[in-house]
Amino acid sequence: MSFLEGVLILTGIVAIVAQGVYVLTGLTGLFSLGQASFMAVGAYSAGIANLRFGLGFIPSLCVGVVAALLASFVVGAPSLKLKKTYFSLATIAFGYGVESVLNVSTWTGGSIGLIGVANITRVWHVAIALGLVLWVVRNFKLSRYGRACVSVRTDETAAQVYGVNAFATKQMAFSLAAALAGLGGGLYAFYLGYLSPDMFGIPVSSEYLVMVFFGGLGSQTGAFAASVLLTALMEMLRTAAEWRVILYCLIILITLMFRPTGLFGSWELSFGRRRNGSAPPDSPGALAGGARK
Amino acid sequence: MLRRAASILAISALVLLVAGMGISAQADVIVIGEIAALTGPTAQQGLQERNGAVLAVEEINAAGGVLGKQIKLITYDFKGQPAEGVSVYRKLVQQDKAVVIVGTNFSNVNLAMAPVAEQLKVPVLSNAMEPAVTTPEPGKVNKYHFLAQPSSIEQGAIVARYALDELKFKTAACLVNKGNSFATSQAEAFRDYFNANGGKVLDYIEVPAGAVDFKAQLTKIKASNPDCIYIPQYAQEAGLQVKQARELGITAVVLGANTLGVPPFVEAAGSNAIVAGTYFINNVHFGDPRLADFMARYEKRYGEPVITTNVFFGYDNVYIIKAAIEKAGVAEPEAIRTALENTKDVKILQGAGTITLDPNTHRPVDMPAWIFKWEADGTTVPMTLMYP
Amino acid sequence: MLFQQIVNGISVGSMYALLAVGFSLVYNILGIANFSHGAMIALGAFFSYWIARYLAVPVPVAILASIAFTGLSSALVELVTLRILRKRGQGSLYFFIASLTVFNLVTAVLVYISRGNIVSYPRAFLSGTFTIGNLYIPWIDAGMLLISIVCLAVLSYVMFKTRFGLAVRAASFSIKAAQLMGMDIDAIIQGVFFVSGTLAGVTGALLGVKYAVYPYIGNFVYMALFACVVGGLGNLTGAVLGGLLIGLLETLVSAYISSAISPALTFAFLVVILLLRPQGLAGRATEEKI
Repeated sequence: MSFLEGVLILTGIVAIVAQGVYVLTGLTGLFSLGQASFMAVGAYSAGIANLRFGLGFIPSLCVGVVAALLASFVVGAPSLKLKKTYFSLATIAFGYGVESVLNVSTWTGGSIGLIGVANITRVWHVAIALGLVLWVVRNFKLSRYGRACVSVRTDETAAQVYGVNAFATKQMAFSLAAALAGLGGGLYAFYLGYLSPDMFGIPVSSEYLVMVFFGGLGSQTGAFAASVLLTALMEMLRTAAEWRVILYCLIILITLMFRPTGLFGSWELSFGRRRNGSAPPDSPGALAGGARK
Repeated sequence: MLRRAASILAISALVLLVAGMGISAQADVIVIGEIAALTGPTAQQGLQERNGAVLAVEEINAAGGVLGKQIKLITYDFKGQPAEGVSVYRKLVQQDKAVVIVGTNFSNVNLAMAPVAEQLKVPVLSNAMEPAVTTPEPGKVNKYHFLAQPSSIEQGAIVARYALDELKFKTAACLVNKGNSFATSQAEAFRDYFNANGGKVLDYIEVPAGAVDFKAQLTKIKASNPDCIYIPQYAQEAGLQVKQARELGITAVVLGANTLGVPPFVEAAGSNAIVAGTYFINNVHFGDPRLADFMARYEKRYGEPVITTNVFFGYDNVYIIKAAIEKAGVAEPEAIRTALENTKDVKILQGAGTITLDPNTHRPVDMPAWIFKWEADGTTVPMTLMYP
Repeated sequence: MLFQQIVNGISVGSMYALLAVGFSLVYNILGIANFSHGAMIALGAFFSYWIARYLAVPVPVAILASIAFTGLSSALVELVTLRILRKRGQGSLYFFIASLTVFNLVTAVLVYISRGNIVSYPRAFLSGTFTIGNLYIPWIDAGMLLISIVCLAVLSYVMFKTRFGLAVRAASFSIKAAQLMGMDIDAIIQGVFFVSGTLAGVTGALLGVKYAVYPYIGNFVYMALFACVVGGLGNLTGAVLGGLLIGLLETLVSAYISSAISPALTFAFLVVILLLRPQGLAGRATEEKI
């Protein structure tokens, strides 16, 4: 595997997880600081399925996705009925919980990590997965479920008046995001062949939030472009040595000042076809209005 | 619309730039790659390590290089993150055509790099203390990974042996950062040795990663009143633990890892008076007359004294590699690997002055380390040189 | 041992309370988490260290001087991020990400300047410990509690007895309505950032005394956010109560249940508390904010 392939694999994985964050934060208006931890759940489940139970690549990935899905119900069921901030708090609790369990458990290798997962992931695996994910998320956005998400984001009470089950809608978005994080995590496990708890934490989750904002909260294209662009940027700045993180932050900040709704705002790439007439009114202005200040 | 198109164009251009950048290989120089955390929470360690390595390369080049060629050191940042470490390894090997890699001193990063190094077959000389880095399972050795300091198991056991045999302690408590493999692997070795040789570890308390307030845990330790407390954490955490222990009126002697021998430890603890009486292990003796010349050169080059032990890791690793390249007679990864495996009595600054690597474990053979004691005047006194 | 643990818990809790009070000011008016507070905490610690070190002044003087600097820095952050976003027709939502980036940027710059080093103040300040019976209480913890109370008293005075405080409370209720009443909303927001910055400066300097000065010291801002959320959004008392509760819970969980997984258990408890009391500790049903 070449250096470029490695970078492309990591970029693809980041893009898959960021699509989940787009569904959760961009469409539904929920802030999760636990996405990296769902990735950890997916990665470790897939890794353990492979290492301890001898499952193959695809079955292990499925185990990872299912584990992340289950976790999303455990976190979502109590917290999504409450205020959106409490949901965020629950995702943080989940983040700490996953990190602690991984550090303490000898089964997962503790802080030394899970050694010896197979190196399987290749760039075409990630490309196929990413293509599928982009297609699923696009259709989700345009479906009635996607519109329900937007209505819940814009005004939850009004949405419920019109017959949208707000709780079920939020849980659906959250589970989709968790499943995508789980898929990304599984691919990550089979790319690195080694997992340790310090790879996934709340700071990593917040990087995903930054990406989705940077691309434009209302835009799926933006979430994809930002994940590719920012991963590439971080990689290119490698030669900047100790200036690396400083330059990275400056570039993000300056871009935001010139494009206050992120790179793409709510614009979508539409491959020459007319945009779906029933697409939700997706201006980030409506999102800010959600806070009704 | 045009602006959107321009953005998309810009993205594609950037991606292409990533693809095409950094392809450079010169025949007249030997490229050594260094993986160091230059940013992030552990930046100090990486920056110090780079200082050491750069100084060594400058000295070697000024003296005519190796095999008549100049050495080119390329250092990339990995923010302390394992996945980035793997990317950097690939970049150094495949794009910069490095023939050998130096770094890191973070076990989790080297554990992630190990399978890739076995594929790409370019050797790594590291200071990652966890034995699984070089021997993933008993009897199996990672062909392309080497360790240039005593392993965590040796270091933890040496401290336990000193506490039992020299300080005559009967009981101990361990306070361990559960999120740091550096701390856990040493603490487990300490506990096992201490319990197996007539002592008793009363408390083995694990603290979560990122904690800075340890009074809850220390209050528990105070209640069980051990003779000594072992805290193999990084400098800042260890300093805070000593400070908070004294604030709670705990008088037990504190023992620690090589991170306790550096100024940041004293800074975190607050004063020389607080750290006085603390013991720690280190395979470098900063005040050794043998190092005086190096210390002066370092200070002249960087305008500040050596801060952490990582300087010696960087410096010594470059010299170990130089010896290996000279022994191999050719700057090719496979030849260097074989030569590294047979490293014997190479002169370095750490330990007793030489290093020999065991071909079966890729770790040093009988590399000694000092036990030091902090005095109230802010100096460290070497008590004894201990062999594993 | 229980009483010592409670003392330990209160000392951590009062620190979180001080963190949360400064953080909650901006949170209340904008309804959005201001992570640049973390940057101000780190700057407060470093400014007071640099002043104490290079100007050789006593530590309290250095802290006072650094507070002015962090207040101004915070106002500057408002000017170059939030103000521009607002001028370009954005609400406060994207400020969330701008402030997070400012926080990361300042941390990275401090790593660069300090070369990642850990330092402590050149002269002892609130060092040592005193005992009551067999309780050990470090002076810095007692000092921090005292300073928290003083800060809260001053802040309450400002918020409830001055025209500025009235304006801030009006703006916290509704920015639009306040604007319609002819208030200069930009000036009010900037004032809030200044006050919040000074509180961050105090907190940062004291954290520097307690835990040494290091670039990542700003990470305490996350605890401030948690304390605000738990306390019930929108009021200062809630922030204080939230901070104290988290501190106590964390300490008692570490001491009596499990130290290794204490953050997880602490937050699980918090979520349970919020399930039982969804309006937060302070108990006033408030409008939803992000």
